[in-house]
Amino acid sequence: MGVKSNIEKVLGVLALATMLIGSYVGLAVVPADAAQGNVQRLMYVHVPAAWLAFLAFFVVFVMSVLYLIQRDDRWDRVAASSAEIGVVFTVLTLLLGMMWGKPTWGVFWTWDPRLTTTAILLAIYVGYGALRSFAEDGEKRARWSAIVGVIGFANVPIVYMSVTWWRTLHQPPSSPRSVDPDILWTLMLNLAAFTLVYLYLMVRRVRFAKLEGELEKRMAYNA
Amino acid sequence: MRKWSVIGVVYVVALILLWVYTGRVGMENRGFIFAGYGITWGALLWYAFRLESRERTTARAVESFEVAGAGD
Amino acid sequence: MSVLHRAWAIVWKDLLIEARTKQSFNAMVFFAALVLFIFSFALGPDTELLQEVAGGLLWVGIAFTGLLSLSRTYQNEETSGGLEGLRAYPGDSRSIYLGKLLGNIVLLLLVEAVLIPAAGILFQANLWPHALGLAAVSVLGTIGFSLVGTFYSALTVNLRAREVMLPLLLFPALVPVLLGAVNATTLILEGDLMGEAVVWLRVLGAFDIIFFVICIWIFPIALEE
Repeated sequence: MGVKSNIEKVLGVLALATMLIGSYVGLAVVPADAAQGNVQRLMYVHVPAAWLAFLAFFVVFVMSVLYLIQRDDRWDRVAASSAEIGVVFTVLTLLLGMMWGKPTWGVFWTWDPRLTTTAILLAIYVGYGALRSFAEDGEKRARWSAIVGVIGFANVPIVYMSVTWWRTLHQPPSSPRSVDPDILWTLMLNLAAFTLVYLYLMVRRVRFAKLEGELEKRMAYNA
Repeated sequence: MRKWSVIGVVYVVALILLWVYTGRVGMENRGFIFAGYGITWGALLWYAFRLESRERTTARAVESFEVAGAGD
Repeated sequence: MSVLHRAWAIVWKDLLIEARTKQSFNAMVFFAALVLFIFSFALGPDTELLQEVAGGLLWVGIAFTGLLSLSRTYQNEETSGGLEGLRAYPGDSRSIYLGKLLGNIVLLLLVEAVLIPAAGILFQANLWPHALGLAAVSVLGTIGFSLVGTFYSALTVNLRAREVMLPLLLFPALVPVLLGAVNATTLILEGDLMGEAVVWLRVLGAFDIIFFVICIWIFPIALEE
C-alpha cells in the first residue's frame, strides 16, 4: 500500500510541476509566433488536450477488447476511468479550439475534419457514459460498454477520413522541420505535462472505481 | 477540504496575475489566451477536486456498511 | 449454410407479419412524407434552395424513418415473450442478426422506393436520369444504416430509457454513412461532372464491409444473457 501511494504522490507532484513549467514557458518564455502572434500560445494547451482525448479513447478501446476476451473487471474499471477522463480532455480540446479559432478564423466553429471528428468523439464518449449509467447489472454494464467502446473507436478513423474528404480548413499537420525548435520543445514539454496529468488522474480514478465496486458489492449483499 | 480552499485561492491569484501579465506585455487577443489557459487549469483542478470528493463519500459509505455488517 | 437458412426463416417470418399487418410500412411512409413536408415548409418556397439541399433532407428523412422502425426490430419477439425463446434457440445467434438485418434493409428500401420519388416531386427535381446512381447510394446507405442500427437495437432492447439510448448511440456511429450518402446524392443530382460521387460510394462500401464484419462477430456477445 505504501509503495502504491508513493508512486501516486510522485506522479502527482511531477504532473503539477511539469504543468506549471509548461504553462509558464508557453506564456512567458517562448516568443510569440511570427505569423499567428500570441494566439498561437493556445496551441500549447490545445494540441496536448486533443492528443490526450484521443489517447484516452484508444485506452478505452484496448481495455474494451481485453474485457470482451478475458471478462476481467479490472479492464472494465480502467476503460470506464479512461472514458471519464477522456471526456474532460475532449471538452477542453473543443473549448480551446474555439478560443483559438475565433481570433484566427473569425468564427468559433467550423466543420473541418479534426474539429468535427473531435465533436463526434465527444458524442461517442457521452453515449458510452449514458449507457453505463443506465445499465444496472455490473456484468451487463461492463459487457455492453465494452462493445460500444470497440465499435465507437472503430468508427473514429472512418469518420476522420470521411470528414477530410468533405472539408479541409484545419491546418495540415505541421511537420517538425517547418516548425521553430523553441515552439516544438515547448509543445513537447506541455505534451509530457498533460500525459503525466492523465496518468495521475487515471491512477486515482481506477482506485476510485475499485472502491465503487466494493460499495456495489456490499449494497447488493445487504439488499 | 481546507486544502482545496487554498488551491482555489491560489488559482484565482494566478488568474489575476495572468491577466495583469498579458496586459503589461501587450498581448493581442489577451482575452482568448487568458480564457484558454484559465479554462485548462480550472477544468483539471475541478476534476481532481470532484474525484477526491467522490472518493471521500464512497469510502465513508463503504465504512458504514462495514460497521453495520459487524456481527452479522 | 444452416446459419443462412435460419436467417432466411426469420426474414421470411418478419416480412410475412409485415405484409399482413402493414404496421410498420404504413407508419414509416407516412412519417417520412411528413418529415419531408415539414422541411419544405421550414425552408420556404425557394425551389433553388430546396434542390440544393435535397440530398441532405432526403437522408435526414430516411434516418429518422429508419430509427422509427429500428426500435421495433425485436418487438415481434418481445411482445410474445419470444426474445428469451430466440436466445434459447439452438444454433448460432448470428442468424438472428442476419435475419433482422435483412428484414430491416428490405423494409427501409421499400420505404425509400416511395420516398425518393416523393422527394423528387416535392423538391421539383427530375430524378429519372440519375436513377441508377440514386439506387446505388440508396442501397449502400441503407445497408450501412441497418448494420449499425440492427446491432444497437439488440444492445439497447433491455436498457432503461432505450428510446433515448438508441439514437444517442446510433447517430455518432452513423456519421460516415450520412456524410457519404448525402454527398453522393447531392453530387449525383447535380450531374457529378467530375465523378466525385464514386469516392463517397467507396466510403459507404468500406463502411458496410468493416461494420458487417465487426457487428456479426460481436453480436453473440451483445445478446448474451
